[in-house]
Amino acid sequence: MTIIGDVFKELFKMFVADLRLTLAILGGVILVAILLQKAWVSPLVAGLLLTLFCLVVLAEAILREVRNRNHK
Amino acid sequence: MPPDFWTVMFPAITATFLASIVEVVEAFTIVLAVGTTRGWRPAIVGTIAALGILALVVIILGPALQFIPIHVLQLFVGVLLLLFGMGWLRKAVLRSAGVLPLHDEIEAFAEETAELQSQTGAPQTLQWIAGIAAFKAVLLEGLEVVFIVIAVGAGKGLLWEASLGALAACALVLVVGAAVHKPLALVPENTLKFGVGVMLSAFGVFWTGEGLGVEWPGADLMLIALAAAFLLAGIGFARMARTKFERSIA
Repeated sequence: MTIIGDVFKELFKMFVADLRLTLAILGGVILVAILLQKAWVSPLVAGLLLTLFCLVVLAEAILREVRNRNHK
Repeated sequence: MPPDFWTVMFPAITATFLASIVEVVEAFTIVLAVGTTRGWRPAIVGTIAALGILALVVIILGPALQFIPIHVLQLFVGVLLLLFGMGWLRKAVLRSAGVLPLHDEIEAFAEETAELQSQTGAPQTLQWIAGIAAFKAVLLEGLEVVFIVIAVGAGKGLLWEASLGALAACALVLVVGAAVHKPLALVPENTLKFGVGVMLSAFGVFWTGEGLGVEWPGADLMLIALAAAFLLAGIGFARMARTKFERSIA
């Protein structure tokens, strides 16, 4: 049972190394999907927005970790 | 040579090969600790049992994904790759900036060896525990390899090519490991992790976009531009993080 538990823990860790980063990525994908669905942006702009959004949330996750380590 | 060899097939095989090296090196350290402490029989049996389960997952899950409509599959796999790839990239950037410590194979080997030596019981029980340790290490490290093989392979029907990349990495680590007979501490684990994080993030954005209906300029060529963007951003973020971290501890 420990091995099965460890497998599930490992699977969870694979996609949720940083919960806020995971939620931000999922939120970004949903946002871009809505923008495309409502035709508020062109498919090309949607792709650029998705890329930019991912880079911004990655920067935020890194800087947040730096701040957290500084306070420890 | 297929028309998308350099834009899709080569990056996909390279990503699975490099990611597998990272994971197989970590698993090899534990298997080596088991082998040198409790003998090679439990180490080999545990490893083969775990490899069998992992192969079964690829053989069952890989072809099953072909029945899912391509746009749904690309969106699903793309989002998972984004989560996984950006997680790796974040960790690699933080390690490269000195914010997080680097993974140390020598230390991992020493810890595992000490733990195995601290166990007491009948010789058969100890062999059994050692076999389970090897099994668990290969299974857990291999899970990430299996995910990458399936995810990267499924998006463009490259399951066998991606598997080949992973198998080549396993063979390389085994041959080198058997030759040196000690933890492969000289493998630049974080650089590999950085590179794989960049590639998987690029694949993730590309396939998530395709799944959502994004029309990428240049089609598959956009993968290279996305990888370049993540690479440059990752290097920039690492410099920024290092500066901020060093300034705060000065």
